[in-house]
Amino acid sequence: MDNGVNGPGGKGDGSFSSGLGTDTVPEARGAKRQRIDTSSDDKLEAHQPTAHSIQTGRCCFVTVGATAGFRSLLDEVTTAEFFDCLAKHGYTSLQVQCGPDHAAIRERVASVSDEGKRGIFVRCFNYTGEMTTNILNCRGEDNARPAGCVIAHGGTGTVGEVLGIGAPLIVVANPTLMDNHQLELAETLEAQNLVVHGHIGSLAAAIHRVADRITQGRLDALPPYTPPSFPVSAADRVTLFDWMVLTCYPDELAAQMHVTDLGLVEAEFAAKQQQQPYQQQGQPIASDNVPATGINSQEDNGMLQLD
Amino acid sequence: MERIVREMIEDFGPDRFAIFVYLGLVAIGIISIAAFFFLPWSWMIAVVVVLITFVVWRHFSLRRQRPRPETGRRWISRRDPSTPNTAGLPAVYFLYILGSGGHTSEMLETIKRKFAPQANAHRRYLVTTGDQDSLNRVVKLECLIKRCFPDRRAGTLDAFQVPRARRVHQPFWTAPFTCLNTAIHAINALTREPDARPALQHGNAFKYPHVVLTNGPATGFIVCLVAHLLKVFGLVPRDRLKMVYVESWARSRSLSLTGRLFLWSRVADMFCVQHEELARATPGAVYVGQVAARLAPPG
Repeated sequence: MDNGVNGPGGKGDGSFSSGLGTDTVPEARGAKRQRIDTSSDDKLEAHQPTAHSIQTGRCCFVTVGATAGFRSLLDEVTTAEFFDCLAKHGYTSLQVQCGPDHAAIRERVASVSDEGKRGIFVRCFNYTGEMTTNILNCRGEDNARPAGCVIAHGGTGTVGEVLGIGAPLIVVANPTLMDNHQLELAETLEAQNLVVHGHIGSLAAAIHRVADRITQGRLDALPPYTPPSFPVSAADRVTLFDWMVLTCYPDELAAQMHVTDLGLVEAEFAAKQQQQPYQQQGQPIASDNVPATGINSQEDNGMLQLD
Repeated sequence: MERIVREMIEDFGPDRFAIFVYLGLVAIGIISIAAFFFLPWSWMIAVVVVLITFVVWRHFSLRRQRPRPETGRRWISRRDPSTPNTAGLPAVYFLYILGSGGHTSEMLETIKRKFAPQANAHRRYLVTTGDQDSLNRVVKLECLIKRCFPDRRAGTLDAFQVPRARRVHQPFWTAPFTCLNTAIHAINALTREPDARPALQHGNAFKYPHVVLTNGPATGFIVCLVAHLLKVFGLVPRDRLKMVYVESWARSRSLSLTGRLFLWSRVADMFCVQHEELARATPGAVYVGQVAARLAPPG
């Protein structure tokens, strides 16, 4: 186990030195690295339960969602071995959202001795409508707290929320649901390297992989979390549904699609001109035209002449 | 402010149609039984054949009018902020079907991602009876919208209730009856004009929803089936109730049961999926991107 924990630290050191080798590191990033170094020291010190620095420990948040219970996951995260694993990786707090199995899990936690909990603060609760604070506690932030991890069932609501906040995430698919549909998302996201796909019975390995990720991705020193701006920017907005509204007004749709086609042709034209440097006079006109509808007729003429 | 929004949301309109539809169904039943006894076989067969031909013909003529998947892909792929511009239309009226749990989260995220402030917008939420959690989350979203846009640009909203199509652990043989009940109550939500947009001011502009957006609960399929039937029988003009199905973000390699129903019955005007892999495997599906999930910000 000691080797396993030292592994990521070694990797982190490797990337540290290679980063210095390139010699183009801005100061801020250098400072971040320094901080990571201290935090990983902190992590190593956490092996000895007595040594605690000013920084609070990592936090682990387990959630099974509101709809269905997930007893096997809850059982796994309340074993003495799991507490042991958490303590080894520097965790000091475990929050468990239990859903319908709340009473049973609370008893189970109470039955573990303080010795068995390895100094980890455990809190169980039934359900909360406001998971954001719990998830934020697991997101590493510069000068505030080290990164922990969220262990969640594979429901899209939870997974989407955690990924949006940016906390390290272990997804454990709940196999008891209809045609085991959570497995698909867990495997896809694991393939995209966004989450760690955890399995019942080997969650300790998943915690270990998360520790790897925290070191490699420097997740202990992220900038403060900013909630997403609500009216999303025009570039990110989903417009397909507005097009569907336009299909209810065929004339308007035809007009706007015409405008769009012109836009496409112009973009193509601009790209072509960029490829042919000897036509450069025409290029600025073609590139800064796009939003205004009024100019389109003019542009149209331009297109016709050039064609 | 939350109180106002809550009142708006929890004021479910009176159900005007359910009893009439039930009476109509009973009447049709009685007439067909009478016909069975009194009419000669040749007449019966003729009537049935004409009816079926009519329905099939209407179905295909409605299907012909739909935007093709390629058109949808073109719409999605272009990045010109001036189109589509719906602010100048007389009305923009969306009907969102909320399921429960994850379906609701996905739908609310989708609504956030597609929201544009405009005064001509009306949003109607369809929730299942007793789903208080979804209602609370809708109230939260609407409060957010009102906070950001205290003026008329926030648009108007209301909510309707339908009974659940199938409760958890409900025996399967009763499911057709509860589904029928859902369908009949859905007619009201699909056809009743919003109180906030009276016909005196707006004429017929807000009479029917323009787009019905659903993402996977079984209720969504039933509501869309009813909407399609209303259009087939000409009770709703064909340029309203455009149905968009967005497959759940959870489905990255295979379609869900609701998704397969939508794809097979061709009820939806636009069939979207949120994973590229699934889009490649499903003919007729449009890859819309991850509209129901924000992914990790870089950092």
